Amino acid sequence: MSQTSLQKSLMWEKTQRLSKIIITMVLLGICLVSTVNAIGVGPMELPIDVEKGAETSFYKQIKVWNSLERPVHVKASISGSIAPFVTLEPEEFDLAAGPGMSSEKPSPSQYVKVIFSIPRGIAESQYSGVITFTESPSQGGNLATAVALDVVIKLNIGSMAKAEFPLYITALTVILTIVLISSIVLVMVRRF
Amino acid sequence: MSKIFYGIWIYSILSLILVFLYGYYTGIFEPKLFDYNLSLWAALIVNVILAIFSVISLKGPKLLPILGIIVTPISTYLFYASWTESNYMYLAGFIVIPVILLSVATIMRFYQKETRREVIPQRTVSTQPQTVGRENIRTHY
Repeated sequence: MSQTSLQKSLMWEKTQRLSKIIITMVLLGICLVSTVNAIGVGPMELPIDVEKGAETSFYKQIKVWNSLERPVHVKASISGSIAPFVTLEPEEFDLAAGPGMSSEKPSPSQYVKVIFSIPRGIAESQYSGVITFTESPSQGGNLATAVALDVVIKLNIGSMAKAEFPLYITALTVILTIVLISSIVLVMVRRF
Repeated sequence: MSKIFYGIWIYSILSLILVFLYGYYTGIFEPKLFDYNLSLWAALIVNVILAIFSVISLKGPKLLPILGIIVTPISTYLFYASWTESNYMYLAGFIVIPVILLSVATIMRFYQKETRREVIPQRTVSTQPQTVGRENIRTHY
């Protein structure tokens, strides 16, 4: 084999290796871009401690934003042992096109209310769950993405809290006591 | 009349005791019996007492016994729901029921006493012979 043909084959091999590396990098880049550039959520964890009956209905907020340069549709769902006590508001929403990752402009965002309704009779324990925000496959373009982000919720239910009556309950209790006393006193007075 | 009056009075006292227990010993209703908290059973006992008094008073004036029978399940539900859901609006409803019942019972008892007092002096003072009422004719002779 002549030296020129050997050099040619070596060059061909190098070119092939280089093209493989470039293709791999391009594919990797596409994958990374599609996952990193989608939606963002915060905070990623919600640790909550409550006494039984003290705070039975309350809510926390999670911010969801879009960094992509195209509008996205987001669905929120809850799973885990906490699911019966939590409702999400809204469960589905659209986010407008963002300024892109490189831009410093604020991304369009939406606050999702995580509403807790904890009955007083619930067992004293730790409940956990995950809120998953899924970006629906977007139409148009060359690539369809379905990205999901999770927010972990840890709910600690402590011992029973003493009921704190609002003013109208105290007022009604006083009225009942007065009616009770006055009715029996009046009846006794009339009897004699 | 006196049966239902004292029945409502006892019911009101027991309701008041339940409200005080709810306020100061909230956890007392926590244990479960047949899958339901004691809040249900306690309210049910109190309301069964009212129901019994209502049923045995059905021979007399009907208004209060019927009211008593109607409010029994409502009152039980209100107390149970209030405790389990920590919703004090339900508790307000639970307290309003005895207030209304007792007020009506007291007014009715007074009205009854007043009419009796008005009738009795008429019989004793009357000197004119009357043609209506066998009792009056007998008194005159």
